Amino acid sequence: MIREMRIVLRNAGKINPASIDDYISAGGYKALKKARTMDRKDLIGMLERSGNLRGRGGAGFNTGSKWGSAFQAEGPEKYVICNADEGEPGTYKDRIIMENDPHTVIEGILICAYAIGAKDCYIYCRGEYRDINALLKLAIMQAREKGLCDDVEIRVASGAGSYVCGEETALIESLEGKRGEPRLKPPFPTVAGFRRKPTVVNNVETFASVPVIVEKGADWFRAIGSLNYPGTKLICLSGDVVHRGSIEVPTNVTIRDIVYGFGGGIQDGRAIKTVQVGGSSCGFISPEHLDISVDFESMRKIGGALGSGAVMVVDDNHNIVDILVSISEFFAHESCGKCAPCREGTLRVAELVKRVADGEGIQADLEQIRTLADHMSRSCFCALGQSATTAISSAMSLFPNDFQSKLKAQEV
Amino acid sequence: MSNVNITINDKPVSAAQGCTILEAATSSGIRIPTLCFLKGLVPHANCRICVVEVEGSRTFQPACATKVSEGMVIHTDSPAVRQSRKNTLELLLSRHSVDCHHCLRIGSSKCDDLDPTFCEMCFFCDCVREGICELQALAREYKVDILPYKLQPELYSIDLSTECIVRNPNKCIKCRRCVDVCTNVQTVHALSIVNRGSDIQVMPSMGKPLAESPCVQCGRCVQVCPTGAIHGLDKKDELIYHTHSYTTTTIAQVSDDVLDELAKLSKMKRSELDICHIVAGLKKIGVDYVVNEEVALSRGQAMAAQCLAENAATCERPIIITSSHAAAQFVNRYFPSLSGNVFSYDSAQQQFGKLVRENWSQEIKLEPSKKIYTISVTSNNDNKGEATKNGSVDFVINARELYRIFLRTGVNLKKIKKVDPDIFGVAVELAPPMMRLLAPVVWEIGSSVEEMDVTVGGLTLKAVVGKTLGHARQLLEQVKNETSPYQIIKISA
Repeated sequence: MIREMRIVLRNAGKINPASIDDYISAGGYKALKKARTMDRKDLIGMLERSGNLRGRGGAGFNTGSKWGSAFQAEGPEKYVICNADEGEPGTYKDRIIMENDPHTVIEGILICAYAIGAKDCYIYCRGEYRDINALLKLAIMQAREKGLCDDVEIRVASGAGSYVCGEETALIESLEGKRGEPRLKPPFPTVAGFRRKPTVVNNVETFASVPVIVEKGADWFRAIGSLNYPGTKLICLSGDVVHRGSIEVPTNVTIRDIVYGFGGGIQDGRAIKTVQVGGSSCGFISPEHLDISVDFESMRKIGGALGSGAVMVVDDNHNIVDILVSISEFFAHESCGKCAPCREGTLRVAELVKRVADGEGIQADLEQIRTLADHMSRSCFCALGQSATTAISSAMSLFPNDFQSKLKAQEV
Repeated sequence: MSNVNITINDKPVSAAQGCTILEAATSSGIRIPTLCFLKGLVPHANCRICVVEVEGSRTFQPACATKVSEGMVIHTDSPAVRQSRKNTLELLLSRHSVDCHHCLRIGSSKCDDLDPTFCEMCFFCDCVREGICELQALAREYKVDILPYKLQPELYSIDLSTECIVRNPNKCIKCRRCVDVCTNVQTVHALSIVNRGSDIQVMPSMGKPLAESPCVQCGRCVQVCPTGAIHGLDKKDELIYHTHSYTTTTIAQVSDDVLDELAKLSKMKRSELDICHIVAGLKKIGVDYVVNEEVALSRGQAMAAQCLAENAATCERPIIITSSHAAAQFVNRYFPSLSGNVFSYDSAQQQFGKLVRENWSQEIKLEPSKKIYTISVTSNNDNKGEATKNGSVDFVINARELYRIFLRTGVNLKKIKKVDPDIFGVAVELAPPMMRLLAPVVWEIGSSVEEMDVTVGGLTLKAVVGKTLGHARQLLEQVKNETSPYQIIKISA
């Protein structure tokens, strides 16, 4: 049986998260000291070329390239932002990392600050994570007392419950005190981000992976998991499996291993219908693709996405339309309202899906849902709107019968 | 600046580096429809009407905000793009109150053979945008025929609190032009976006009625709103009633500034239209006397010049002069410490109202038994607020409303025989520099302040003309910080 491999969560359950001494005695902050002796370019190059660490938030952008771009950007004023606004339904990996080992995140942030030459860092923490907010503040205070922060300032900012603020430019707007709405790109944050200055925005899991790579070297890291997406990934398993929970696995582990190995199979011995990988913004995959490994490129090849690493298992007892109701309502609730296709489209999709699920729908409603899904995926302003209908599109092509069986019986 | 080579609709185009797809297309004669875009302001790319297909890009790109790059291949009117625009319009229209659109002649593809002017004359369509709604025009262009969604009931109440600017949130398509102009151009900060998702709304600050917000009724939001969500209070019916009535005397003053817009609306060349056509049209609908603004304008300016000359030596510096009610309000609201420095003089409209009441009623022997109604025809939208607050005239009509009145009453500007305006009183000559200082200002996004030296009462003073309330803020901030180099500051809304 395949076992968990804990790199990011190496200290989880072993140390007291509120104690910096525990973290240091477990080898913490060594990587920071090592990084600070390295040349900045070498440090970034290590992550970029040899390490190939790719962003764990969902977009899979090469972390080193991002840092390199911010490093090269002109001007003395630069920022590092840790995106801890975890809002994807079914995802709670950042929470587990921060709850168990806040210092590894802080160490990652400090390494980044050194690499790009930033003096101000922010952790934008999801508003609902109140305890974590306090824990992070405590950890920052401890690190400062130990003199580890040098002249770098880390602040914790709290989100106010908006999903779109997990999008990096919306996060920056929110951090600046404005409406949490995405910005036009380009310019990208590495060129003009927070306060229009070069800014690196990385996910919690990405920062948490950095210290180990710096400490153990790029070659070590690259040997783990898939070639194109090395390292480990935190997976949040939910749905109709026997054991739900979060696990950390090398990226060459397959979805089948996760569902049947770690998850212990489907509840009550039923058959699997589909798996949604990546959270509500990603598509459903058919059971025939269960042997795909959880890395970014493999998932993309089958037309899916790894996203945040949430795995939601659906057994054959469900009609997929019922699941889509809550997904489409989620997006209608979370749309920021900036662009017309998303603002009105998410509302209409939710309305139509609800109607079909209630047995009131007709064939024309299905066609309208499909039209809207195509429209929104190409014309919306940001990734929220563009991916709001991904799950619906994939469900419509995988399970057309689920939709047909829900339609209102037409009088002949 | 170097150029890049791009292809738009299979046509090779050379465009300046750093320009947007919209600019490149426009300069090479290709039209891309827009809705939220306003020239001179940072594009928001909210409405997604200007989306185009860029080869190699997974998603459609907004033409207003996407910069061109070497070798870009762009399709602005492909079936997929047209479909996308149509889908967006369907979504927008199904949440736009339909009391203008129920007249489906306007968008119907089945009625292609109908003369569009017929639609604009339709009496059932009570659209306050005088039938020239940008949303309606796009709906017609993209043949938005049947809306595939459940239409929403009218959710929001109409805000009539200012008695001159009406806010109807049911017609708002959230393009944010008004918010942008109010915040970034006028710096009044009366309007903002509240809520999120489909509950989003443009609201006066703190959710209060417009009259209780910082709004100074400059009317620029009315000017930029593409639909009828913010519009001037409609008094056309009342106006037409009085012009037709034999028991009242109506007298109108026409400002030249309506000519440009009116020519565009009437599909005439600007050179084909002059003020005499408007005079003829107004007389035809029963306005008894029509004058141009020359006399009133020059008299207002002359009185201002005289007053300045008498007081220049003793006045507190800088002297802030304005003929705009909204600008004066703005100073009171945001720079109360400077309100003592404000010297207001009569605009053409205010002076006209006074002249009719005080002088001309005797001169033209208006029958004392008949009630007099004054009408000011001007494109300057802040005049509506001024008339409401000061009661200077009874009706203020802008170019759009005038166009609509002419359509309704069958006045065809292309065919009407010109009539010269009536002349009462004489215009006063002014020295050119003074004239320049006191001349009415055309409000425009992206304009800049104008500096000049004027001689007042034997003193040569450094003067500046601010053309928007944003300029006013900038100039008055300087005064506050004691860095202002000017002795006379003219502000307008």
